[in-house]
Amino acid sequence: MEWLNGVVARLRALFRRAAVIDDIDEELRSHIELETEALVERGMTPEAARRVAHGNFGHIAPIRELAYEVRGGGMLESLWQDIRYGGRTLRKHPGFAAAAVLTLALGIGANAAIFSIVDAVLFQRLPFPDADRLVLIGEADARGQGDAAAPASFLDWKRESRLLEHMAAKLDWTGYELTGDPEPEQVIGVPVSADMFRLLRVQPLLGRIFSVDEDRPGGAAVVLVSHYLWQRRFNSDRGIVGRSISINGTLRSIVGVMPAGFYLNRDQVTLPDSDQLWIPLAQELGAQRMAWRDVRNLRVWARLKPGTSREEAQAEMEVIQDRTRTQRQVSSSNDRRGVRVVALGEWRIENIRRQYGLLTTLAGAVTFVLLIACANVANLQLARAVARSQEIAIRLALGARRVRIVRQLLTESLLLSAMAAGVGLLVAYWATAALRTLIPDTIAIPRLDQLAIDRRVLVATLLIAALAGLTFGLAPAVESLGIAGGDLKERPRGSTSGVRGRRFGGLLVVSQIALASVLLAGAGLLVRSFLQLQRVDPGISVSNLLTLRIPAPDRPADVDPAELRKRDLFVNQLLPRLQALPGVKSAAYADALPLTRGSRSHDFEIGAARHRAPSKVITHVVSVGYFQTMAIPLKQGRFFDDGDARGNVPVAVINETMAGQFWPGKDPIGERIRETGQDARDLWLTVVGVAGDVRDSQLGSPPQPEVYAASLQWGTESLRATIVLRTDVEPSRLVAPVREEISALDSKQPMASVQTMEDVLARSLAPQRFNMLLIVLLAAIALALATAGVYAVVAYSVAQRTHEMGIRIAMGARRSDVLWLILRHGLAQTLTGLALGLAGALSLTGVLRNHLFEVGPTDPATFGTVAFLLLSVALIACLLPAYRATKVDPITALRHE
Amino acid sequence: MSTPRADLLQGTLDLLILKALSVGPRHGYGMIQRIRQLSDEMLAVEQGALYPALYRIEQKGWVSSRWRVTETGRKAKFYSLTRAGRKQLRIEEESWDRLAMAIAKVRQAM
Repeated sequence: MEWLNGVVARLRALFRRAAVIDDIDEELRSHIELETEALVERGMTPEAARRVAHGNFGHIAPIRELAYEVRGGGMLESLWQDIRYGGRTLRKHPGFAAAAVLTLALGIGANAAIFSIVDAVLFQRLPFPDADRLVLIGEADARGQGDAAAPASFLDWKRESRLLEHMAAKLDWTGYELTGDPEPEQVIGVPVSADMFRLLRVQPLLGRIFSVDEDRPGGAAVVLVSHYLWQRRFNSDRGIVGRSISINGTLRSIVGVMPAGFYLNRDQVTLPDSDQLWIPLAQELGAQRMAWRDVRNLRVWARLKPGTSREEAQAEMEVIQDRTRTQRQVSSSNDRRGVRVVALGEWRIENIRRQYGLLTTLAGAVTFVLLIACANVANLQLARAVARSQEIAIRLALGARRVRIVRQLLTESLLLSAMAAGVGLLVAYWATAALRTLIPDTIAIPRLDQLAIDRRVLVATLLIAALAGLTFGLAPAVESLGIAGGDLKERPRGSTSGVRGRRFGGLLVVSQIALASVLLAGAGLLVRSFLQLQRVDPGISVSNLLTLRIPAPDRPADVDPAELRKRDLFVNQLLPRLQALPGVKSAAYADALPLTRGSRSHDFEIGAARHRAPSKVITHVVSVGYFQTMAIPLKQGRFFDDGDARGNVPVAVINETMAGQFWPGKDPIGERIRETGQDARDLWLTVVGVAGDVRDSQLGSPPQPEVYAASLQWGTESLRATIVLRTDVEPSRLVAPVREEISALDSKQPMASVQTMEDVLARSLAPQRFNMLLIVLLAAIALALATAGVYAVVAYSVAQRTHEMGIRIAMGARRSDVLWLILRHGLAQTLTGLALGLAGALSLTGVLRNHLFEVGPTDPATFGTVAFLLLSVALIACLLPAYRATKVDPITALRHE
Repeated sequence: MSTPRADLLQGTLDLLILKALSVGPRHGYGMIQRIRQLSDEMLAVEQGALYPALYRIEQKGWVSSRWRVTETGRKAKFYSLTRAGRKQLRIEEESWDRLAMAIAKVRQAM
């Protein structure tokens, strides 16, 4: 309680400061009077007695201060004093305050915004209880890689494992077609085994999860829907459980609604596709495919039983894998697969690293910006500190203690950073909002819709601000004491007092330039890489090309052949109708568009090289007019024509890369290829033509071998039909007529992903563009801040040396000499910083290697440009104040001070 | 005398102040006189040390203060020991004695 009394006394003193000081003063005065009285009693004259008493007592002020430190507000009070004093000083120098706050706010704001994104992506934990006990089990190849498993293996493991519980499997995702009210649409769903929800310990919001009986081929047709889908399509109807909806043409009964925020997708990293539903895995795959051993299409997750380590689970799984392998006959090389048990969280982080590697780099880049901003503010502070050395010297002479002065300067810095943090958060708020709209959906930042400044970002920002305050406050504080350290009267005036300050300022400039040049180099590389990327010929003509998908349910194998023929017919009927629309030059379809990563690969046996292992070849199924519509050039042979129909010789068109790779120097026309593997069509295709290369997955990846199959012969894949239309008019004007034609043929058929090919191309470049924009933005801020830093230091040194310049000019120095004198100083610092920065960049830009396209991480042209840019900007920043120095009028300068 | 080394002497000074107040209320000047008297003019407490120490002790609740009029009609702030102050005085005296004894023993051993 004692300390509490103390605090109360201090707080009281804080508000009754005058009364406390009066009380102390009165007591001290009464002390002197009592002593005077005593001395008079001993026979001194009152005059002498008073003088002696005063002399004995000494200065009243320091004693009062010491006493007040005990009785007054103490630390609290002096802090409050410092803050008020700091506030006053800042108000008196609004230019300085504004520059410092804005500079720092920019740094802090950029930091908080990027931190929000990094936080959202990198630091979110798996949203399940006890997630660190969850593991992923995958079948590993010879290199120990692999995170997927075949359905049959999953069933083996689940049956045999004793150390893992609730082992569950899921497909990555599947598109489902919802028909009936209100309108047909396609949503993303995930087939999961019944145990998945028990494994993740997720309770449904309404209804129940799947029973084991339902997770069986031919089990009761049930479905679970996501919170979002429930809200959006079913108007949050709490009576939804038990209702049947038509999914891919099957009536399924809704057994439950999952809670908001629950999602399952490929890697638990990317954005949950907002619509989700879940269907029992075994129903989705069917008995035949649940017995697959060669197709690893499942993600298998499980929970370590209490007391089991991942290593023990790994050992157990290896034993099980070996045992089940000997039980079945080895049918292919794939059966020699090992098994890999990894913590789900770690696996997710691996994925994050792969996908968002640049994000961590960006976070580093942002730190650079913050450092530059700090250096700038330190510079400003330093300039002020030197200017204030007089004030500090006076305060020291009047008996202020050094600690007190340093504390006061630090308080001032912290005050600045607090203000900057406030403004910075505003900046961050806007920046985050801007980023949210700027981030392309193809980057798929998880929970981007919820991206906001959260409490952790707030804390991080405040920490950064406090750290920044200390960093840029401490050095100048110490420095200013050094400067003001001398005796007041011996302190040199004017010209040379700032030498140490200048040296420190120079150091700051060097580091700023160095940091900025690293950022500029990184930005330059990404810009060059992006320019290179844009120069790549996609292999098709993208203008006036409208694309849209007509989504169809599920994989063809699950669909009744009659239904398939009907859909084939639908597409084949649709194309002529679209072709006939005014404004349409030609219409065609393909199973997937280039540049969307939508293509599938199949293993192909190459006729002339049957001894070789089958090769993975990207396979496109296209209609007759596809090549002409996309403007893909014919290199050899012919494209498909109406004669390439069912019943005639099955044909294929291959791309140039494939021709070069499999038949180097030979004529591929007339060669035969055949798809192999499970589920493959037993169909020998004869190569009839060679088409130009098209960039399939993205502009930056080199062309791979590709096969085009004729849809009339290959048929069934038309279920994934994408329609492309070459138009004479603005492509978007055709959307409505196309929709009408589709509805006229089948009113239940939805239309999806309507976009021009130019959009598709832009979207495919969106991640690179976004990365580039962000880092260019950061580099621009860095450059601006660093330039301001150079300018400030040079301008300051000019102001400090006005006197000296005046003397030089009076002594006959030419203006050009003065100009050079100043320039030399600034340029030397810039060059040093540049040299250091570029050296640093050479070793740092390696982290960008994976994000660069046809540009080396040490590209000399980029580095040269960066050096040139920085030098010219710095030169201008030095020239302005240097020019001012040449205008110094010697008379005025000498009278100055 | 040089600047008061309050930190070093604080414990001792506390003891001296409490002792000076042990027979009755006194003002600051009186305390200095009393200490000088008791120590045969050997200990002179500086004002700069006394008042901060007094205020600290007062905040600890060992003494209480009141403005009163002296015999000669002057206003002065009188301090008196509280119950806690008396207890503290005993503690301080005991620990001082122990320390003095310990030092004496060490010295005799030489």
